[in-house]
Amino acid sequence: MMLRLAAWLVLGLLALPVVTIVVTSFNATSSFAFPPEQWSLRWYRNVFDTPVFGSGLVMSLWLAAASSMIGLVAGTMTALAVVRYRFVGRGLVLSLVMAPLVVPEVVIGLSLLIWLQSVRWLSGNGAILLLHCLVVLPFVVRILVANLQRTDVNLEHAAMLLGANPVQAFVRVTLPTIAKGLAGALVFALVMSFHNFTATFFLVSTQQTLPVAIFQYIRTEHDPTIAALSTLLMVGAMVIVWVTDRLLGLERVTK
Amino acid sequence: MTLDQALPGPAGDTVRRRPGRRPNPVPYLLVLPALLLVAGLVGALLVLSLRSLEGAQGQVPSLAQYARIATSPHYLDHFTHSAWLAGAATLAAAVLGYPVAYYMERVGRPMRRAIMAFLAVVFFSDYVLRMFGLILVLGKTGIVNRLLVWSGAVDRPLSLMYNDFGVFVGLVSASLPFMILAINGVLARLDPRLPEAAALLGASPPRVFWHVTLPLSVPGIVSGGIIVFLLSLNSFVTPALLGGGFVEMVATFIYEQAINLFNLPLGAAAAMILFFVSMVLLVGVNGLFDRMGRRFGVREEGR
Amino acid sequence: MMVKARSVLLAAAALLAGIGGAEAQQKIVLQSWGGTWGDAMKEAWFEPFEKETGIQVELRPQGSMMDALAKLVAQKDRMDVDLWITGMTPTALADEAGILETIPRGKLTNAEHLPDALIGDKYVGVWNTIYGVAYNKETVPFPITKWSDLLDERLAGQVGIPHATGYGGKFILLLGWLGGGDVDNIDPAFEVAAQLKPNIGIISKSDPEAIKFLTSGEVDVAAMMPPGNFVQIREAGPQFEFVAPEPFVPANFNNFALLKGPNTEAAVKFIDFAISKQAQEELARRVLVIPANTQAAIPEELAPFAPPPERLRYPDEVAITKVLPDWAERWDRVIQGR
Repeated sequence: MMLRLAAWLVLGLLALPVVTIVVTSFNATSSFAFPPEQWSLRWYRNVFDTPVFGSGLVMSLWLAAASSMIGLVAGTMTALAVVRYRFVGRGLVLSLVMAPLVVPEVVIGLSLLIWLQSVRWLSGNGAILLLHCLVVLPFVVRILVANLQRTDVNLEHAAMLLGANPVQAFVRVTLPTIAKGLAGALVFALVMSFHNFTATFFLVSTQQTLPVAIFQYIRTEHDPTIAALSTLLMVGAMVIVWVTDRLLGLERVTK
Repeated sequence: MTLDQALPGPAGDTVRRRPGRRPNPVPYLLVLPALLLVAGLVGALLVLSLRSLEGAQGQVPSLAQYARIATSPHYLDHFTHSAWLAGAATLAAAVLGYPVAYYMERVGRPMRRAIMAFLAVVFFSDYVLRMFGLILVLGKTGIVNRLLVWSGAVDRPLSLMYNDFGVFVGLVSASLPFMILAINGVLARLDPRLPEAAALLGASPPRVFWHVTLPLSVPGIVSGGIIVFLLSLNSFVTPALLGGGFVEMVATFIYEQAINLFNLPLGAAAAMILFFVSMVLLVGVNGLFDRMGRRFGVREEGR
Repeated sequence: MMVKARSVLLAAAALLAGIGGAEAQQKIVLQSWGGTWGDAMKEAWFEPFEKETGIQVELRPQGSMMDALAKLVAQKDRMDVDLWITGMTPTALADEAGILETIPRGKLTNAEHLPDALIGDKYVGVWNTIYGVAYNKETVPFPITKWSDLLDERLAGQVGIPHATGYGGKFILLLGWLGGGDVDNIDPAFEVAAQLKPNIGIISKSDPEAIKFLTSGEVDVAAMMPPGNFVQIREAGPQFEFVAPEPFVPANFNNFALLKGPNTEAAVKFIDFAISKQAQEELARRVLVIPANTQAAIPEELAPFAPPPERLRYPDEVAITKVLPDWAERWDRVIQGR
């Protein structure tokens, strides 16, 4: 009984900001009165009337898509090498690929900014794209290593015995069996890139990403527009959780 | 989400390389694109470390920046204060998270999945926006203060944020999902026969919990703890939005030095220190954790 | 083979010509503040300038000047910004970083109307602004008239101040002046700061943030506020008041800095336009600043806010640049921690 009470109390505390955001987003005035005296959808309209959110969304989606695709290809190749081959430096490769996960974000952000100052060939947006590829890479590798370990390499051998070349064997036999893992890795990569803030904040100049635009808006404006945007993004998060559950199984991912 | 979680065991019988042949180039070609990306990070870190070795007048190499941080009580304060806040947040997250993780093991599957889904939604939603939610809760015109003033408990709104307390609450609320999932991960794999055996031998339920279940879940608390501690230690958004300029943590200090004071060498040195502290903690605790994991009989890949 | 190479060259030349053609509509990029300031510049400067010269001006909004500086230095070798409106401290730092071009004074027909202090090799003054106090009349129990009112214990936790490096450290200097010090004797500033600390409710990192904290009720008083920001504050309600407190009012000028960008020549033309009498008056009226051009009239709208000139005090900003990191450290030591 005590346990149940304690658990629900904690979950309630965790939910409180979320509930407050959703309720506030429908408030008719900018006063943040709680509970609102009048209800309205005006802040939702305001979300779409605020140009930085639109351009931020486009920038964030573009970044997420590009970095996820690059990360997915590079990550899948790495996972394949690590699971299917034993080679000198295998452990080192894995540590290196996982590194972006353990280096503090401020450190990554500042180091890329300083690097950007000293090299000519990298543009500002190029650096941000590189950053996002680094952010998604560990997740892709981790999910796909786990996935590939469960596939049976003998099926590929069998395909090759029947005359397929290694590439054909991979595409025809292995790829379909890890398709779910690939899709799950893609979703994860998209989310991780989309929400990256701290490191990106160091590199962003004029073309803001959505989280950076939100951060600046919170710092400078005081109305429920952000609450409305939050609610919309939360609906997005729910869809993503549902999709992830379908592709990977929630219980496995969260471990 | 620790490093070695991703390290699979030896490739075993799936190994293709046969003895007596030249090293197979295929795996190296396969890892090349990923290594190129990581080379970007390694290169950047090298440039960062070079920059941190610049003296006050730009002479290299010099340890002047490190010396400046080490000899300034105020600069060092940012590190100790961050560590203190992160430690407090980790402790609070463990104390608050444990009941939830334990409760999830005690309820039926549908409820367990519902809680899991809620935590996942929180995890997948934007960090910046979660801090915004806390501003709505803790601010001078936030719901807690409205409630307090309305009920007559206080006559003026309390300062619940823009101070250490606000940052602490922010760190805890950001950490809880990680902590709950880490502890629950261990609890879920616990051999149910162990507490049962203890109960059969006559131990009361509280005794079973304190002497069997809780000690067995220590690996989960430690692994959750290290993630939460490092995330809190490196936190930028929380002090930036909830600190109100009064609470500087290492990350905001680095930003202040490198960007607002345009003192890149000092910012770089602070970043290098943060980098090393994080690495040492991670590697150290992981080693400790491995030994403990073995002692408590948690299987290697089961983590 | 030869033919092929030649056709490739021709195609390239055509392409280049095409790009050149597109550039007939010239455009310069100006980095400055957005919001009220950006809107005012658009009306008072960009539109008439484009009508007169055919050169378009694109505004790149900046948050704080120092943040803008870090990002500008990062794009040093591929600078796509031509002009920057900033302060003397960032200008000095930017010059050290090698991203500034010398401004050819000979090409500025309006330069003669600027006071000598406002023009140099790397900077051309664009406006003077003063800093006062904005507050909420309904919640502050007494009218604020002097800076020392900020220390009144009735304002406990109710005063918003800029952070250490905000306005290039000029709030620190102001407290130093109030305590009887100056740039070379800043100790009194930290004594006054210690007295002020119980009253500080929030430290803002930028202008818009300071405006938000005042208008949203997080604090009742905003110290160090240019009247230009008050234009926006008074839209939030009639309860807000602006005052230029006794005994003196810190003032400083903002300036153009010419970056090593792609359209330097057009940028110089724009500087000359912006410091002309009419352009100065048009802008000053909208954001309540004092024109840099001595021929231009001080806007009537500023009169209720502005103190007589003898109460204005200008800091030695280049001297501050050198000591600012130390000030910031000492300042944080006093102010931080709760």
